[in-house]
Amino acid sequence: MKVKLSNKSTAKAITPSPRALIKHKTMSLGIRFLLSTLMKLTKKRRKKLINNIGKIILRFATKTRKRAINNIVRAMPELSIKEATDLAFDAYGNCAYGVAESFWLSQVEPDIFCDEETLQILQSGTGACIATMHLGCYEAVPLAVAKFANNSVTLTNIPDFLTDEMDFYSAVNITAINKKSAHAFSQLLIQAGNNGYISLHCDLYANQTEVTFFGQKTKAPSGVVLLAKMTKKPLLLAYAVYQDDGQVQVFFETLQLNQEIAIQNQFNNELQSKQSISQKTAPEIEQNVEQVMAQIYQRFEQIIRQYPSQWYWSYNRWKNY
Amino acid sequence: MLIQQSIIQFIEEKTHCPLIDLTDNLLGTIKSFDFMMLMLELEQKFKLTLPFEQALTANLRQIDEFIFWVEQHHES
Repeated sequence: MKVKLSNKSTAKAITPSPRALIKHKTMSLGIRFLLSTLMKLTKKRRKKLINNIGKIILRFATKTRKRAINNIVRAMPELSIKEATDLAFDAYGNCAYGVAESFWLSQVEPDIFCDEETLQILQSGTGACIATMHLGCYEAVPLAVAKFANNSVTLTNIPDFLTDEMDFYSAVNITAINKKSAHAFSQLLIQAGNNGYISLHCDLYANQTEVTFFGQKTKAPSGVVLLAKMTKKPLLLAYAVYQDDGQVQVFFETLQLNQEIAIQNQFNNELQSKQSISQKTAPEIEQNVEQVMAQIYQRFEQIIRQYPSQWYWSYNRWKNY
Repeated sequence: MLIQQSIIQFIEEKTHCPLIDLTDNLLGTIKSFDFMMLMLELEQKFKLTLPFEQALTANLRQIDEFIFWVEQHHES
């Protein structure tokens, strides 16, 4: 499996200057050195070290820290400032480790949880669109998908100096499409058409669909829902969380794009009671994008409340609201 | 003609531009998000099934090519 980072040079297609090349090479070597040092540590010590580095970074990143604390207070006003501050540091440390784990994905063995219906979708090989979030280990969802399906696809935003040197995803059978590529969307459609399992993070702000998140209006990226509707593929929700011992757990759920099932059940009950009309079909009411997004965001909120110290709180999540 | 009108109207609404050049690149004119909205809207409005995999191939990049492609699917 290859890493699909075509058009690495991004939409601009500009040849990097010698100075930029040297900079990229130096940074790449630095990362490699750091990684080789980290890999010499035990998993537990590595986690603790990266967690602490994350917390130190947040101490100096005033703007990021303030935004995280503000977001936490906004979402959970019942917390005191001290509790919100502690949570911001814990979450940042955990997220630092979650991001760092992308560098050694081949060593991550997630435990996977899903219901029977979702398992069938994952094993069918016919593809699905997966709404995921920046929680725990960010790349554990496409990684878990790759355990079931041959065509696990995700969008990445890896800096150029890393894409040239390292294939984070190739070793674990994930096709990564560079977000900055001019053809990212076309590639995504092609992968969707080829029965790909497309995992897209959709818990950030985007000026697309209005949602209510922690009781407050904001907007969210709904591309994953549109993609599912357009490709007529199932829509799943998935997230990855760390356990206390550092083990990653990935959860998959199936989301309903239409209300057919609920209506079908009601319809069947009516039929049974009347014992008549044998060949009638239940009406199918397709949920619109806003309704599906509301469903996704309701679940996101529940999940974040369950694991508040594993979500990335520092995004400008309620921008313009 | 109805399809052409619908597509042009959609693009005008998204771009806030009353004069659309039909030879412009569709995805250069509207966002990928809006492109998906457009596809879904056309499918619903005209009771079509559009093979999305074809929608971004080389010969469908221009707005007029896209219109022609949708019209063909409507007729068939």
